[in-house]
Amino acid sequence: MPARDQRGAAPDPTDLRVTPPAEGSGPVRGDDGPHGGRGTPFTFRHDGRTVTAYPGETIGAALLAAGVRALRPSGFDARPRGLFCGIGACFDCLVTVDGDGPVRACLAAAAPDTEVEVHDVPRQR
Amino acid sequence: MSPGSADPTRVPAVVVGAGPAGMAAAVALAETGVPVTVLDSYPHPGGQYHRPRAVGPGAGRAGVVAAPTGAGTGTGDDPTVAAFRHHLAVGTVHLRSSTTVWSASAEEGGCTLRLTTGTDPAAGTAAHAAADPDRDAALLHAEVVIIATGATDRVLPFPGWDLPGVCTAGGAQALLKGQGIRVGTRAVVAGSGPFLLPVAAALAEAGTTVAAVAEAQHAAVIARAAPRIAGHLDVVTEGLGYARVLARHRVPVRHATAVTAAAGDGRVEEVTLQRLDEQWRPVPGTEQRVAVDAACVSFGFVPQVGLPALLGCALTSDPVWGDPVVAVDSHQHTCVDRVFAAGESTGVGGAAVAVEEGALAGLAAAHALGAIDVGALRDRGAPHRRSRARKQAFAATLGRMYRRGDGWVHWLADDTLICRCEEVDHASVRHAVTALGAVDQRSVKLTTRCGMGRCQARMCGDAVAALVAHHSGAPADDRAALSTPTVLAPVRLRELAALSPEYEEP
Amino acid sequence: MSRLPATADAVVIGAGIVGAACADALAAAGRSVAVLERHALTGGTTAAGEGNLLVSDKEPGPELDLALLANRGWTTLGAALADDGVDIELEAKGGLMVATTDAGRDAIDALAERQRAAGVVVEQVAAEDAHRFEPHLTRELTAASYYPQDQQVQPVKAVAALLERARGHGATFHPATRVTGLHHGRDGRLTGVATERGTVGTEVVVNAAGLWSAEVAELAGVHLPIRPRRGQILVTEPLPRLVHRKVYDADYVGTIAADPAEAALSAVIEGTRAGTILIGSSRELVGLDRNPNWDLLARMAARAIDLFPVLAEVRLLRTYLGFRPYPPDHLPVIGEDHRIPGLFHATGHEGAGIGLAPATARLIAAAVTGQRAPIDPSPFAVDRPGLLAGEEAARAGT
Ligand SMILES: Cc1cc2nc3c(=O)[nH]c(=O)nc-3n(C[C@H](O)[C@H](O)[C@H](O)COP(=O)(O)OP(=O)(O)OC[C@H]3O[C@@H](n4cnc5c(N)ncnc54)[C@H](O)[C@@H]3O)c2cc1C
Ligand SMILES: Cc1cc2nc3c(=O)[nH]c(=O)nc-3n(C[C@H](O)[C@H](O)[C@H](O)COP(=O)(O)OP(=O)(O)OC[C@H]3O[C@@H](n4cnc5c(N)ncnc54)[C@H](O)[C@@H]3O)c2cc1C
Ligand code: FES
Repeated sequence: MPARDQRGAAPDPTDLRVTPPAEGSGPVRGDDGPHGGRGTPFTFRHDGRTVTAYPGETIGAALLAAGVRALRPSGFDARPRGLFCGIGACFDCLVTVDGDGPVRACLAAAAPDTEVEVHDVPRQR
Repeated sequence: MSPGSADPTRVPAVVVGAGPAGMAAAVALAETGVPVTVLDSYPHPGGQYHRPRAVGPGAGRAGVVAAPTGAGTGTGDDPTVAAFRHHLAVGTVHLRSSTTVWSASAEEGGCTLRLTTGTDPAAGTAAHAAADPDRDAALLHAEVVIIATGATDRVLPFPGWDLPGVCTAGGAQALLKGQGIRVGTRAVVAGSGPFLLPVAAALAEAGTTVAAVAEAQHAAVIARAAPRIAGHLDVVTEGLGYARVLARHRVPVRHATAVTAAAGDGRVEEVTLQRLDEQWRPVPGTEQRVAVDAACVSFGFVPQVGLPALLGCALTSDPVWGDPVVAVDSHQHTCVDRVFAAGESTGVGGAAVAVEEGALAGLAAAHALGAIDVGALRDRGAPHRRSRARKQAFAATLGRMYRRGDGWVHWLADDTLICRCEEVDHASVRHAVTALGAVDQRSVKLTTRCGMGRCQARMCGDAVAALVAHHSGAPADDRAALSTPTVLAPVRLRELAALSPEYEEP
Repeated sequence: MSRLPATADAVVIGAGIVGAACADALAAAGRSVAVLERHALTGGTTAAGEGNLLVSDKEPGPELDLALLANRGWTTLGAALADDGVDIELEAKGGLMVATTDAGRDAIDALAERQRAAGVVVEQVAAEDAHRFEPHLTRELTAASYYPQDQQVQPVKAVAALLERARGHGATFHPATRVTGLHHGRDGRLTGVATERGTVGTEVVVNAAGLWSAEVAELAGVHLPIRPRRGQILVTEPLPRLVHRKVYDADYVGTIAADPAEAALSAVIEGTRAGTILIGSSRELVGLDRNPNWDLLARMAARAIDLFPVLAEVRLLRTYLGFRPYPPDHLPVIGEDHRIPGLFHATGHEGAGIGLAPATARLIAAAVTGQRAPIDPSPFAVDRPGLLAGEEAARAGT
């Protein structure tokens, strides 16, 4: 069962964030609430929406947790693509950050108040 | 640079990759007194195995990672990790994380490595580099190089594999261990190999409903080779542990079964599970649709051999898997003078083998630099050689258990993408082979763009080789002889231009 | 693949752009043609070519005449194929030659003058107006001229389309079929071609083996001085259109004829339909060495950024290289070998084989069928003074 059950609160089955098992001792800032232990959340903008992220999260992870699976349309056929390899090898997860990029969402850390945009470069066969 | 100090771009030893193999290599070298520079693309050392948790308490420390192929779990208490940390602390090992070798060449007296920095290396960090030019030199000349670049997941294409929500099993594992994020609420874990079980177990423990584990291999084939692993008690125990976890969560483990299609509107909503015959050909009429929001797929791992190929290291075909791997001798020495390789890039054997190979590569590199004599090389290497042999034999057995059938090509439709980057479908690849006379991966690439994209054929190369063999009726050719990319990771043109002395920033 | 025919009116060796064009022309002329290719249809230099079909980079003379003929040939071919629904990405995008120095400006202006006299359409563009053609061009230009006749094609698609059309006229294509011998009778005339997979009887062989045409000639016991001149290309990530035409440095023209012993480069920048930008190109005589020359590549990147500052932040995805089939006097070799009747060469096109292919095919078809050639073929003849003698002189000199 999810570790967060230890807290007694009924887990939201659609919540993809798993509270990491407590390690060491002492309270961590932002320790209460459903994502206790993750630190203080912050937000960034993605495609016109506000997305919550926690320190250390990658853009890809934060977007997935927010329910965003399709990250960009593919260049030729505009088919949706999301996180695939998760380790920086496939380049499916490209996004732009503050107009710069594309960067791989599975590697790039989410940062407060950034504008994450869909990387959409139509291509022709 | 202060006057009189050595040129910071010239170092005696560089290890590329800070996974189990690279860490072990760095430790072995450092213990002989050689200063070591370790380069790794990721922000933290550990590689795929000791993936650190980046979020929450303990963030940044080498994490607790399931190990499907032995050696229990890799933890912060792992002796290699502990020794590596020690050397980092005392400064005998210098780690440049978030640093990617994007190109390299071997020259007289050593190798030149060209580097790019940043979490996403393609993001570049010019400001950073300006602040600390020594640390962030874009070029490094090393007298010896140890390659420990690991592997990536192997995924065989199937209809719908490009839908969001379909991901690699390793990717799902990385998200969970590194980020504390489940890929979905209801998932299947599919493909082949011992890695499926820990991933499924970890997802189940994290609260994901794992609808099924689909192992393509027939149970009988696995069982035939099973007696050979009986001696490896640690591994057997570990495997049973995962089985218990899966049983507790009532996760069905099905053999001779594959995900042969994924479907959904903009994301995966359902997958088709289908029985396979002994050649891995899907059996008609056995399709079963399962609703999911994630499908985690892996058919083992493909070694990353781009860097060694650039340095001129000869590649060879892995005797078990057929993938191109770096050819090394018993000292982990490649055919290029003073270039060594260890870990998955020399053949997939798991973290336990990687560590032994790394240690041997480190010792051999120390010997090449004159830091230890032949006697020390022999004596210190002996225990590592013994466990390497034992573990390599075990890895080979695993390979036999999970040897891939070639009937999987029958689950491809004409419009199934083979190349994700350039969006080349199966019919185009077949046309290139049967009508245009494409005879290998390279000619398929040049006729169709398949494998020409950003991932540099990391995702499709293996499948294309199988398709060429299938459609031409010729045996799969020696893929070790193929040309490899010259650019290992995207870099900005200004970073390339900056290598020219005449270049001025615009 | 398909079985080798026992006999053919003509055998074409090599399925690069030149071989494909020759096969198409001969088949259209009613000859039965067998195309023999040791690899696939991308086995040689054509796959490395950028697909530029240029008149702009040529000095007046026989090569420019050939290029102008070929340019019209591509237009006709593209239209005919388009009618059949076949797309070879032919685009009359035009070329823009630019200079950033005073010397470059003088060179551009003088060249334009000479070319105009030879029938090339050149529009002089005021330096400050060049960005109307290319919005991202540097504003530091000293001169520019626009060549509307310059076109572009996707070479591999073009080869496939030409072969397909030839097959429609009865030609056969045999990949993975290496030619290993050329047979001739007592009178010296060719009688057939030996391959790894059997022989084909024929009295006409077109040697379109590009870089390897020297080896093929050797099979008939004759020498042909074709050497590899290496070229490297940088390929960027796919982008929204940043570069609309083919843009090249004024010293590009100088490079082609430059002392071949020295590595030379000049920026040639263009966008492709797939969104990538290709940055060329270098010219080096380094045999068949496949190790990239990073110093040259760095200089190419630097020069590309000079011309298009926006490229500084664009990512490089890959590099590739190819070997141009290079004859000592920079002219292609097109026509029957006076030493071996029946052996026709169509080779030595160096950095312009794609552009020159249709015209080459017409000269070959005329020579084989005994028709009048559309332009004077003698400058390309095997026995021209500069070729075999030039080679001997060069050899004697070293
Ligand atoms: C996504 C994924 C998840 C995995 N998870 C597990 C697991 O949980 N348990 C398990 O037992 N096995 C796992 N494996 C298998 C794993 O490959 C081995 O067990 C083990 O990590 C191999 O060690 P290594 O040192 O050879 O390579 P790796 O651990 O893969 O380390 C290679 C390192 O090299 C770096 N690198 C590569 N190329 C460059 C470059 N050009 N420049 C700079 N750095 C570079 C990478 O960033 C990486 O850190 C996983 C594999 C993958 C692909
Ligand atoms: C980097 C670069 C960029 C270039 N850009 C351009 C450009 O933009 N525009 C342009 O016009 N030109 C360009 N070129 C030049 C152009 O690519 C060549 O001139 C042209 O491709 C030559 O075509 P070909 O058919 O003669 O030779 P190839 O394409 O080399 O074809 C010869 C064929 O013969 C086959 N062969 C060889 N030996 C045998 C044998 N014994 N039996 C059977 N088959 C055999 C080979 O496998 C090969 O497929 C460029 C070249 C390079 C290197
Ligand atoms: S998911 Fe593959 S690169 Fe990010």
